[in-house]
Amino acid sequence: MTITAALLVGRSVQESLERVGRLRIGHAHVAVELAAPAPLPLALDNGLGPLGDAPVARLLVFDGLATLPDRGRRTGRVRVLGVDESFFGFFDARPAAPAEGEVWLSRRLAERLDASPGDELVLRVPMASGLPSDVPLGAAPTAWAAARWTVRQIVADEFGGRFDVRPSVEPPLNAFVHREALAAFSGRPGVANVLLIGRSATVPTLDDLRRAVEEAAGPAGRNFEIRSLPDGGAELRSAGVVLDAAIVDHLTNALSGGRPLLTYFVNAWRTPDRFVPYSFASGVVGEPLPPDVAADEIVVHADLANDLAVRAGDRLRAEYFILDAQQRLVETHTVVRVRAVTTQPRDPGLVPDLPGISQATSCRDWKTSLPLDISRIRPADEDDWSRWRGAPKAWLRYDTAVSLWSNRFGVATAIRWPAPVTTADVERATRRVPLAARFTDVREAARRAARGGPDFTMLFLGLGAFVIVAALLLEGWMFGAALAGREPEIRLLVALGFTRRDIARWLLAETALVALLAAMAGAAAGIALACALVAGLRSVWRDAAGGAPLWTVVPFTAPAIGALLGWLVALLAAAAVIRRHSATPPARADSLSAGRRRPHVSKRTTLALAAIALAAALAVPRIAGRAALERPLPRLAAGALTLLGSGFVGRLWLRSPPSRTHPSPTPFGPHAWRRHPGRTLAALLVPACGWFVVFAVETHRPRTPPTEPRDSPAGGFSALAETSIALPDDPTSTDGRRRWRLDDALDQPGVRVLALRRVEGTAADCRNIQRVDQPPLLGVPTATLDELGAFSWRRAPANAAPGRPWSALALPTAPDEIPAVLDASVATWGLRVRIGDRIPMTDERGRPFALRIVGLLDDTIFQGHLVLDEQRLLERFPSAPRRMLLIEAPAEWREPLLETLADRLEDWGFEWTSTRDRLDSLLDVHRAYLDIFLAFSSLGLALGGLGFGVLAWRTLIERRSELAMLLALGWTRRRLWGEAALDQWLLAWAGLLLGLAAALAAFPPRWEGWASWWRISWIAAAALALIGTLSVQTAVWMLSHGPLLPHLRSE
Amino acid sequence: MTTPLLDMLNVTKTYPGPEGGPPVEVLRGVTWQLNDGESAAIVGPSGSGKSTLLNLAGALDIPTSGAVRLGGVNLAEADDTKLARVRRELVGFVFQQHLLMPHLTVLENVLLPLLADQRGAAPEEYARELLDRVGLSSRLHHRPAQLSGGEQQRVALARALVRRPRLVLADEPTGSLDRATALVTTQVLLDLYQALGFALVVVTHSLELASRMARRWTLAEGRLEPLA
Repeated sequence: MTITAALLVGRSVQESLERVGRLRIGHAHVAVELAAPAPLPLALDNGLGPLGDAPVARLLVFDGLATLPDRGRRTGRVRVLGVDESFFGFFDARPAAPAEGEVWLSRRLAERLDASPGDELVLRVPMASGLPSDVPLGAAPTAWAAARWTVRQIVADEFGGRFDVRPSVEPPLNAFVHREALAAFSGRPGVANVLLIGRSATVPTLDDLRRAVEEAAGPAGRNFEIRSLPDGGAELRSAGVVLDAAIVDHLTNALSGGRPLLTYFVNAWRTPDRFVPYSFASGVVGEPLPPDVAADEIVVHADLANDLAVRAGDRLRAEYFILDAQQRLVETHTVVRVRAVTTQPRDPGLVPDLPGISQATSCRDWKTSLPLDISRIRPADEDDWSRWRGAPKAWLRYDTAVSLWSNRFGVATAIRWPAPVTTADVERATRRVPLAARFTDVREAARRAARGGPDFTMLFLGLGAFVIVAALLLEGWMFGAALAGREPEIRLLVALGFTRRDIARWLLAETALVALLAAMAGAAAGIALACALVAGLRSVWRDAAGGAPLWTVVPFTAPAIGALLGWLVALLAAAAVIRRHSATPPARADSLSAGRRRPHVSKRTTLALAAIALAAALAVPRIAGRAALERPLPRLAAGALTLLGSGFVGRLWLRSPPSRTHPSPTPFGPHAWRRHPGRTLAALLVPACGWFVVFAVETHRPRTPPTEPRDSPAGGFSALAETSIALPDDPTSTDGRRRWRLDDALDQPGVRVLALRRVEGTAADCRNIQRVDQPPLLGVPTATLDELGAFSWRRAPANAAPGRPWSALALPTAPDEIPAVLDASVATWGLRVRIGDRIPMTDERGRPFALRIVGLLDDTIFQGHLVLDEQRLLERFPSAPRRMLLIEAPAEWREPLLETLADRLEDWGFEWTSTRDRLDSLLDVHRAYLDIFLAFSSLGLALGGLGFGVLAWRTLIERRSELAMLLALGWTRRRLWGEAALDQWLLAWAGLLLGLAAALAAFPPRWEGWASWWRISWIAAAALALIGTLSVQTAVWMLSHGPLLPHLRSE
Repeated sequence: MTTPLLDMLNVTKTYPGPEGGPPVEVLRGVTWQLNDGESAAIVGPSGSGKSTLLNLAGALDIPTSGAVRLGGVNLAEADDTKLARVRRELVGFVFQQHLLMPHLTVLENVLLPLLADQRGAAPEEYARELLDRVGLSSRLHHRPAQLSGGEQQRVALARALVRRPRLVLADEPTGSLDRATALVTTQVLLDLYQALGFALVVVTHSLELASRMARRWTLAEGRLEPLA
């Protein structure tokens, strides 16, 4: 039954996850996720170009916020998907798409908002500019856009409502809108950031598809803009303003003659008595710089020279904003020497297209997140802007410009090639630039996710191992007793000349038939048990399954295999009993003696084994160390060794000569237990093991640890917050405080807020029962965490500075590696990695790299993430947004602080949870598994209790003649059966006490443990004791009401 | 006129028949009396109801109809406690299988009946005397498994007599013994009978043993008839 149920549950979970996977991706085979929205060429559409016959759908996907203003309902983490008709074609839905102004909601989002068709919904999404939210060069003035949409329909899961590229079991909160409308509303018409590609007969492999997409994407798909230069040649620039170093190197190598340039916004040029505000300077290669220009020299235009009254040889101070090491915007300066003054025409083409600036008609109309002082703008500056549109007034060496002004986003604002290079040449060169995208075989990923998670078959087999063991022992006992009862027949056959081998074969054949029938019945019961277990995983134990939708699947093979395995196991157990029985001489049938068998193990050996086991039970906790006492394994080992040692001691006692002091006259009591030492031991130890498990589980039920200590799993932080839309500033920075008016809240004593950057992925915590290939990455300020001494380590990085474990994450490594840490439980059960392992990743620019695991955290609130140093994260993911906040505040300031943050950051979808609740939700998974284990153990104990009753019945049957004789001597029936019941109860409760003693020895109860007496497990324990007692009483009652007198004669 | 020790009047004992069949009447209208000190043998084929008759006489069972008085007590109207007291105080049983407790010594097995009414530690002198009479005074601390079949049955005899019963019921006491041992055991029983003066009823297939009893009865078709 247990084997069949385990097989069916494992199969059901896997098939359910596969079904969820199919619901998620429909007929899509590959998903291409661009790092930034880009206009994708028509060549990538259905039936055209390099993708051949593969169906293609373009999507524009954002994480946003949804509000139902009429009902005051609001939710974050909404996935806003701009789609067209081709999308729903992947889900066998009719080819249709939301019209402009319409939104279609997934079932889960509709339930969350309690929305219905006809409702008005406000969706808030980030602007789709190619710029990251915190780039310093002319960042978008508004990080998000909001608009009203009318709910038109609810999309069923099977028709695309559950669409998600990432393998998650939790249904996403999807809102489907018209793609072009979304693109326009978010600031970049015509863009998309996800391609769904179906199966293609002509482009079968992922590599082929990648090449085809990269080929077809062209410059537009890479957000490149290519134009011809007025005097011949070509220029390439990026919609994201800056080009990173790898792209610059690739293009300049691919097409010779390329000259990168970096144009930057200079806040002011100063001399001792003059200054010019807000202009542009360019780092260039070649003209107008003389060939021998020094690194600290510039060439200024006459407009600037006149304005500042400078000439060649004079020194100027340039003031400008940069991102410091902590990625904060700070103003700094450099002093340069004027090498020459030029009058050559200024080139407005050197200035990149900066949103909020380039289109402004005057300086005072500039809209930028840079903290500009518009009062500095002079009429002359306005005139200059009108005429030159910001054309640079100064030039310096490109390498100098890179050293001063480059950042994680890039090193150049354009690359120029002189004639005879044409735009076509540049376009061809760009096709070989890796596309900043992640290519995922979603079908393979779904299959791997469904099949690579925890093996529920093995899990339930392990959880049900005690049931299987109890059942086998019970079978062994009963079969052995039945065999003993057939001893006269066997002796007769032997006397007639049949060999014991022949007899054993016949017995085995007979048993095989019975076992087959039992196995089939067990398989049927296993199906029922599996249905109950899956129902349990959907309801009371849903935390163990991560809330995944589960269906019960009953293929023919699982019950057949379960029946076959059950049959084989039962047959093997019976064969072992037959073999043991055949190896020893039978007892005399006309004697009341027990037919003692010569022990296989000598007394001395038993004594030695007992001593070793008990000594080991004492030693294990000491060897494991104090900290390891909190781990279950050493404690379980100590308890198991206690039980084992007790078993050996019991064996010694049962085989020793009985005490001569006042032996009981009745066939009950310790002397009677000695008649069948093996049976008595089994009757004691099997329930004892079961009770030990029950008590051990209960005392080890995890309790949520305190969150205040720094070395707690919460690191001393009291709340964890997330935003749906990336925060453009760190709320604790000067700009952030000003933007959100947080000075009062953040200046309170003891208040600390850390803003963390996160790259989205599929959470790898214990609540996700699927295999995760791309967990989310979290960038943390490692120096700050080291100063605080926050969090504790299961294994701290070996190469960290003493007392500063987080520092290891900032250490330099191999060029394609970044060190990372994660929770120990995620490493073991989720990602299955160890210290030293590499996890292959793809960065924001589509380039492969790896994370090297250097340490394991002690199950923190970061569970599910791979944690990196923030700066190292930005090397590979410069656009990684700030979306998580760690919040610490004294108790009296906690609520006001959280209310303030929730109010000020509402438009970014701020949601918070206490770290205690976070840890609780993670521990709920652990508790759910313990509850399942307890349920199985209880089932095993119930089986043991019933089996105990059968044993009691068997024992009493064997002693019927003794009981009849005592009756003849004048014992009353009441007294006889009372002693019989007491004898069996003593054995049963001795087993319980032994199990309890072993559990207490291994798991000294804490006070709060005793306070949970009324938990279900204690009630279950009491109920099981009742079952055992009732079963014994039933056996006694049945026999006491049967005839005894016939047993006075020869039996 | 003395009151009979055992007085059975028109006793019938019926057992349920096989499924669907009529009940089995083992004893039919048995009327029988036994006085103190008398000896009787009951013979008959297997399945004739001899053991049933003995069980009724020994307050181990109650009749379907009729009356059984033992020591003046109407057994048919007695509850289990009273029956047990009657068995303790008036009756001693000897069975074909000695039914000694394997974990007790010879002496302890003999003392066993004295513990039936939980009177605490039992006096040993009489038990030792009985064991001496049966020739086992040197085996007091041996276990049953260390004795021969005949010796075990002699221990059972001593056990049956330790409470000085007025009536001893022996059901095939030599049935499982070889001839030589059976003769020895029979002699021991008769010697004890002569010495202690209890009433003795023996169910036996042995004509020799039956011939040593004062009266002989046969049980056939449920009726007790005197044997010529």
